[in-house]
Amino acid sequence: MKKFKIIISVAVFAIMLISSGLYADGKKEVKEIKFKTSAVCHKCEAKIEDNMKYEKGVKFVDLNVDTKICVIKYRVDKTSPEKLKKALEKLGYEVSEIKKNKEGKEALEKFRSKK
Amino acid sequence: MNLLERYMLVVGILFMSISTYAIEENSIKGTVLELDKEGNESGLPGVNVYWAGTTIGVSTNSDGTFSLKLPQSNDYRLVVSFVGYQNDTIQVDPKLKTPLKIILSTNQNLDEVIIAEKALGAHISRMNPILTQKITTAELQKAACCNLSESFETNASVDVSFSDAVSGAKQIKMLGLAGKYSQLQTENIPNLRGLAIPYGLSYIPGTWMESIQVSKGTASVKNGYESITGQINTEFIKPDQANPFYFNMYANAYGKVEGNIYSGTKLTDELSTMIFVHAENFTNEKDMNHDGFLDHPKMKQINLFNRWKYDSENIHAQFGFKILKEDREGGQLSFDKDKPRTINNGYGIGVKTDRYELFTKTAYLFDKPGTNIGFINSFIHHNQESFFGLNNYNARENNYYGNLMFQTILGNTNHQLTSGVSFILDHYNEQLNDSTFVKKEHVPGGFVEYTYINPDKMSLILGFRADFHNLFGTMLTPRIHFKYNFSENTILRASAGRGYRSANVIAENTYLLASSRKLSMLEELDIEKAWNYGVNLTQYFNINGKDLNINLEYYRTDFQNQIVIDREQNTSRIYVYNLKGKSYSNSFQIEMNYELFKGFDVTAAARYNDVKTTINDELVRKPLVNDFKGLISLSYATNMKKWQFDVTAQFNGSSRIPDTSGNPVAYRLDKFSPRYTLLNGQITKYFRKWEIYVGAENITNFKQKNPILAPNDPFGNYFDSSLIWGPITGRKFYVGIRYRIKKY
Repeated sequence: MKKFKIIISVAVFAIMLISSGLYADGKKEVKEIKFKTSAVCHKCEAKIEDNMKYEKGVKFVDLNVDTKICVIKYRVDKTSPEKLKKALEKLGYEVSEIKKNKEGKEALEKFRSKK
Repeated sequence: MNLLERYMLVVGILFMSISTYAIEENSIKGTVLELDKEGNESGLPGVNVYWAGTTIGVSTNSDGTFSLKLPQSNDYRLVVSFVGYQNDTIQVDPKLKTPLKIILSTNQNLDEVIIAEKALGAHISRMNPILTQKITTAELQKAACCNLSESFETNASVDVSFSDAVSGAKQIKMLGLAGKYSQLQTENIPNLRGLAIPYGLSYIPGTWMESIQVSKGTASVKNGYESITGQINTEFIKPDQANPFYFNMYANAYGKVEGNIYSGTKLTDELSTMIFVHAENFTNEKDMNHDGFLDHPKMKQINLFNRWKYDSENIHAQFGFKILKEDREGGQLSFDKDKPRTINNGYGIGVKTDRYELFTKTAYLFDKPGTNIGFINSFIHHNQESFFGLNNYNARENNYYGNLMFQTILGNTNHQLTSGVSFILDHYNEQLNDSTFVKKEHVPGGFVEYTYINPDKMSLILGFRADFHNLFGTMLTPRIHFKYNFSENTILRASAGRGYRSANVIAENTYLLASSRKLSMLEELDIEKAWNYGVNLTQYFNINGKDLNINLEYYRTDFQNQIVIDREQNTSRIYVYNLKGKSYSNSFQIEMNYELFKGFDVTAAARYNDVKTTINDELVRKPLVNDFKGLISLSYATNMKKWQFDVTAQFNGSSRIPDTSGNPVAYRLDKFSPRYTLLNGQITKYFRKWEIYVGAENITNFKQKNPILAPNDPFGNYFDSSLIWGPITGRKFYVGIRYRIKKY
């Protein structure tokens, strides 16, 4: 009987943990921001992604090495674009926020016109 | 999130005049172009071009041109990736002297971009002609994983069990046959053979490992004649890729504490080195089943490894050495090691091991693609001093292994040829009580292996080797592997081949010394010989954008000769003799992997074993082998992998217990063991530099009742600790931390 209690309590604990995570995710407003960075290689990608995910309020990080664009989704109540920018700079990269650039297509157009 | 145009790759190879490009022997050149709406070509700058599975790559220049060195492997798949487009892969013919022309043309379909593809912790390569399951670090970290013997908890193909109730030694089984029939390798060098068989799995700390490759059935002839049921290769972390610092501590409720540190550094662009340290200490005396014996011996181990790696354009060299000291003390609680070992003292067990390993690996790459010469050398000195009750067993082994290989291509890289010569030297000196056994084995040999690879359709490996054993004569080893792709998602593989193994009866069965029975060898023992045949079908289904992977397999092993350990004929003796009659194993397995939803992986497997052998002129089920094993492994990682939850359940069928009907009633055991379920779980929390994990093994607390026969009379006639079919230790909680300074 004792062992069943332990199993059940572990299971309940795990479910609570997971569901509390999901609940919190759904409750607060999450915004997306894009930065143009000076990251040039796949190692930078790993470095940025590994470190930025532990910044407060960050829900999603992705760096596309080809475009050098870093997409971050964050909780509005926990962090701000300025804080995120600082965190990226602290990792040793130059960054600038890309505004109103919702579609990667635009980045592509920009890239083409530059060429 | 990014809505992007989906581009299709159209690959055209244009035969431009060679004069426009200077051709280097060992590199390819080309241009990546784009067709605009009017159909004009223009060079695309900044496109990433790299060899599949490597980090060797370049970006195209402002005019779209690139030049890239050929890879060291024979994998000539070139990946072309560009802004938001799906990566595409091209098979390149390295012989081709003309530059490549790669045209990206627009397709107006809109599609999402694949950001990151997650590799499962354990996965099966689609490319490899030999079915190989790779267990990565991600998989290894799902369980406490103190050493190699504990690395297969979430793997359906390899079983791990205690070999006896007193020494704490664990052994593996593949296809229902003992681990000694699978070839264990460290970085493709045969290792953990001979005297290392009983305790060798504990010589490889879990945190040192980069990955483990498990392949069932007959193996390539390159690595020798030994593998019969399969091959398990362990790769250690490489000095040029290692983190500058890694630290791990682990402790469990049974009182075991262990620590691991490693550190790698690049001294120059070409030279790198690495140091590994492992120490463990297990001093608690626990007897949870109250039979007067320690459930697990007290143990101490120190293990050091230093390795060096040198890579230049044409030369790759590695060397390293390992030092291991291990001390096991077990037996009855009443045993006092300072008193003389007589029947007036308790029953004690002690195993002291000193092991030194040295290896070198050198490869020279010729300018011709796929052509190289490799030379592997390994030296091992192993010394064991041990006692089991009143039995004393001391043994020494000196081993040398050398393998010189030449690899080239015939015409193009679809045809590869490898040939080589090898030499194995094994000197054993064993003392069991008053008898001394000296055995010297010298085995020169040679092999040829032809590989045909047509990446889209089929591949074939034909191998043949001949070895000349000074004691057992000529050994011929033919082996064949075949892979056929019915489609991209349906792959059939088949293999057949022979393997040999020279047995060291006492060293491999030291657990039988922890028994009051006497070992009797009835005749001169011959070499063990077996054929293995296997067929498997891998099917990938795409369900909701995720791969569901189902693998069906059947393997049969047929022994031509086997060393039979007969504990059934006579209750006071263990007879050892050559097989007289049939001995075989049939193993059917089905395994399935699927990512049910984001972050949640499921593995389920079931296996049926039919293992029979002729003991005392009767074909019977091989003792202490499960007829069934099932496994369900669930793994969930939260968003961005900050938390991870893992649960594994193993369902074990019953096994036949060797006949004890000749014993007095009190010392008789059931004919078959019960079925039982094991449950393990672990929770890991990741921080920027730290990871903390807590878990429990054997959560249901299932233990084999009375693992020791006649524990109250260890010096009597019926004492036996070798009849083990289930776990001896119960529920075990553990906690550990990992700390790393990452290198980017």
